[in-house]
Amino acid sequence: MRAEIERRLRDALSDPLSPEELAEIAERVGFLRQQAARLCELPLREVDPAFGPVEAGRE
Amino acid sequence: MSGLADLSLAELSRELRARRVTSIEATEACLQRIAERDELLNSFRTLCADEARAEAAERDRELADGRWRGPLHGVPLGLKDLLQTAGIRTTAGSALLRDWVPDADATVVRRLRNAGAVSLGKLNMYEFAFGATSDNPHYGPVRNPHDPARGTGGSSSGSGAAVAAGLCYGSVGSDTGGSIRCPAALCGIVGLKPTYGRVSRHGAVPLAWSLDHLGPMARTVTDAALLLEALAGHDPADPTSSTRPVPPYAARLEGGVRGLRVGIPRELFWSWCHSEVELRVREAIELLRREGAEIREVSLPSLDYAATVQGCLILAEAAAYHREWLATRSGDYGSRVRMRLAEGLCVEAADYLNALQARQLLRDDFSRVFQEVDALLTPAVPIPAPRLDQEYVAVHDGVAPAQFYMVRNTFVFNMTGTPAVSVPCGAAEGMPVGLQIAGRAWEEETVLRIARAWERVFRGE
Repeated sequence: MRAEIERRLRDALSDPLSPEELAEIAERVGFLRQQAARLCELPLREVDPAFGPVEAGRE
Repeated sequence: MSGLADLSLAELSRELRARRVTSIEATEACLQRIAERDELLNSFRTLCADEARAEAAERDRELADGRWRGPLHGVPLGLKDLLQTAGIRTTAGSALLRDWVPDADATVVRRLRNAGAVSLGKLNMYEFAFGATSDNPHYGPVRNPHDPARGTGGSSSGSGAAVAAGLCYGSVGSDTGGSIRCPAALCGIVGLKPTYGRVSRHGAVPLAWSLDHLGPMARTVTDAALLLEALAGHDPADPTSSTRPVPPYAARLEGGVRGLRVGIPRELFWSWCHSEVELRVREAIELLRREGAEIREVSLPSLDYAATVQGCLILAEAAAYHREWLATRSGDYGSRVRMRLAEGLCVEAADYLNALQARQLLRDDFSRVFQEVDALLTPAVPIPAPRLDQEYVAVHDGVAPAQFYMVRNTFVFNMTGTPAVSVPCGAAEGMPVGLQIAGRAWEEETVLRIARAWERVFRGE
């Protein structure tokens, strides 16, 4: 995970992150991905595929 | 002049219209209060004293000529520093935009000017609104007027402090996960996040476009309603803006709660809650029951995955907006925001899209509950304002970083896009506690009506 994060962020940021910052980001990304994977247990295929972000709360 | 700055917006408005007070006098009262208190509180980022005096003088001339623009005529307000202001620096709490001077006003700023409000200047905030404490690595922390050793919550930290301390009569904040309601709760004022689409976001520096809302912060429910009337309405420049007509919110506040069905969610909102905060909110619920509200428990199973959905959405959307600056000026961000944005760059596309779908399920869950009840009541923030040097806060469930608590009870209503307000409801550890009232989409009237009914009970009116 740490290597992948380093690779992704190397060109995305103009200034390098410190090893400590990279380690914390990798840990947080790993946790978020683990949690996001659990969303697949929900009946997501029943959601209207036309749903988009700007529709939240609209008529 | 003493005490003029402490009037509510509605009280000042009546005095101005009757010409017992001038806008210049009200503006000077605020400027004097700012001079006395803001070196400590640090709520203003850019004070526009000369511009405010000129605007106030013009409003007074208009009144003398018999022209009254409405309840905000001549009322001095403060603006969160992510709202673009023509000719006035707009930093969004960042070093990156330290010297940015927009050439046009945000729609809400234009609306307030057209309504006759006087702008005192721009209010401090968390960097790019991407955090909910009162910290700012570039401009220093905003301090809580109730205890300067404590924070205000964020991200509309300066708005919370300035309104609570009487430095202005109201403000406009932004709220992506709770950034209006959190500082409102911790500073003891009223903060309303309206329905998504109710208030134009055009000209506001975005954090996460599907979650961002703008709304009023004020000292009373009536003041918040008056501000919302001026802020709300269709704006062709914001594609998410609604064409629904704007109701006269302030005229419909006094209906009481008799017969309204009020839901108390079983999940999420009561865990990690300071015992005194829980006590204050439960007392408020009981008093509203005595006023005639029908109280019932409700269940929202979707809250189990709400935090994951919110994490994917806010991180990815914020990173998308900041991507170009990250590639060229990442060293100009504070460390915490830079790390959150970097984390956002690592959110997988499939996770973001699944989160959008899961949000729809969450909205369905809330829609089901809003068929059973007219509103939900919860604590707005589960703890009182933490000390500025306090990284961790202990409650009976354990110990967690202060940031963890700040938007824990508010963020879900950004995902549903439905209105929610925080109103003062007593104290814990001597600091303000907020009662959160959430309602159905487009039913700000109901939310404000309950808030006003509570305010009357709370103040013994």
